[in-house]
Amino acid sequence: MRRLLLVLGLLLVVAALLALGFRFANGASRPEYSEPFPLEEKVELTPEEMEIKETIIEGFRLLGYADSTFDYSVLEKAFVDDPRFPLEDPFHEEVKRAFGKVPKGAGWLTSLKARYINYKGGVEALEAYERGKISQKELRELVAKGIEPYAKRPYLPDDEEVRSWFNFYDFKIEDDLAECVHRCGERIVRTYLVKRDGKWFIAYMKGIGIAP
Amino acid sequence: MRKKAIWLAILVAVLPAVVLASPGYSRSNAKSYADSYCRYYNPTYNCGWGADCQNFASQVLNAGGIPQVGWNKLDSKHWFFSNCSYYANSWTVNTWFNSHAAKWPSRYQNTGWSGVREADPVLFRFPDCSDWCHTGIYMGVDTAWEGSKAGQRVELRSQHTPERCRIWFWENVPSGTYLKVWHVVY
Repeated sequence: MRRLLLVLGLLLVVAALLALGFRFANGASRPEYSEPFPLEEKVELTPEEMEIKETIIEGFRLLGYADSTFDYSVLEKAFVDDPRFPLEDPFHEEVKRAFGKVPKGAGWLTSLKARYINYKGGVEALEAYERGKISQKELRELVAKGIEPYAKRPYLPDDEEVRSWFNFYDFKIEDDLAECVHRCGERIVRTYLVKRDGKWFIAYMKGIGIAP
Repeated sequence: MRKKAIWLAILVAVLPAVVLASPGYSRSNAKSYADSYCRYYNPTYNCGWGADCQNFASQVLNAGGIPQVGWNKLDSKHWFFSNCSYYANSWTVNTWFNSHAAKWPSRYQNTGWSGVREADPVLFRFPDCSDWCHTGIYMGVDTAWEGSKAGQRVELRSQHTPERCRIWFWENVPSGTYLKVWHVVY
């Protein structure tokens, strides 16, 4: 009788785990965002805040250029690696894929460079497939080797479109370090900037919510 | 007796064809589902999740005729939704759906922008994301219902989180966003 109860108990545990679907599986959770963000756009900006705002907008203009040309060297005009913002673990894999390892001192600029190296490979693989130079099977073999196929944006956004992605809500500036909360397309992002030789550079970006 | 045997033989011959034949992906059914539920959530799938984009995209694909498959939440080859407590990760998580699509070449194939078709799912990786973090449905070229190009004939997308219905596809897609089109071939 006792053994039967034990077996039934075990069966119940297994059934419960299946029903719950192993909800606590590592790395399988959906991101949970609070929305909408109760933020108001800051209309009157100080000269320093204005500089920060323009740095962020310029950064995205440069990303557009890199999207279109794969030339990531231009990104150094607005992005930087800074030891106060070392690259976080989730970004390591992509950097390793591009450079073979995570270089010492790798930060946001390095992660963007890695993205464009991998992006170029992914776009070119897909274009080769679409031109009939490789088959779908060969494309899948490339994917298995770590090349991720990307669809390239078919146009370069103009200045008006770039500016439409942003609303600026909050600035915190302390010496050579700044934090800015802003809308970036559909996301609310906290961007960290550092000042070097009198100029602001983007050192890190973190998504913190979904825009309303 | 002989009649029964003939019927049985016909059944045995026809059944595999019926079972195996792919009914195909109805892009119009998928689009009309997206139109119905882009703003108002289908109660069956409304689990109150803060991020619902992949859940919505999966519903659209399923409404278009791609059958749910499997039972194991933790196997990305599986893709199903039973209830808010029991569903496949590939139904609700962008990166898992990406893995799922890669494992089903009979359902999805990668294509560039020129190969995207109505009711194809498109994955987004925004500049602050370390992996795929959003999914929308490409809705073809038609009149935008909302956004900066409302009333204009442009490429469109619909999605959840945030809820958007037939908005200009590129609206609020910043530079540095990587896209992956999973063209449905089912």
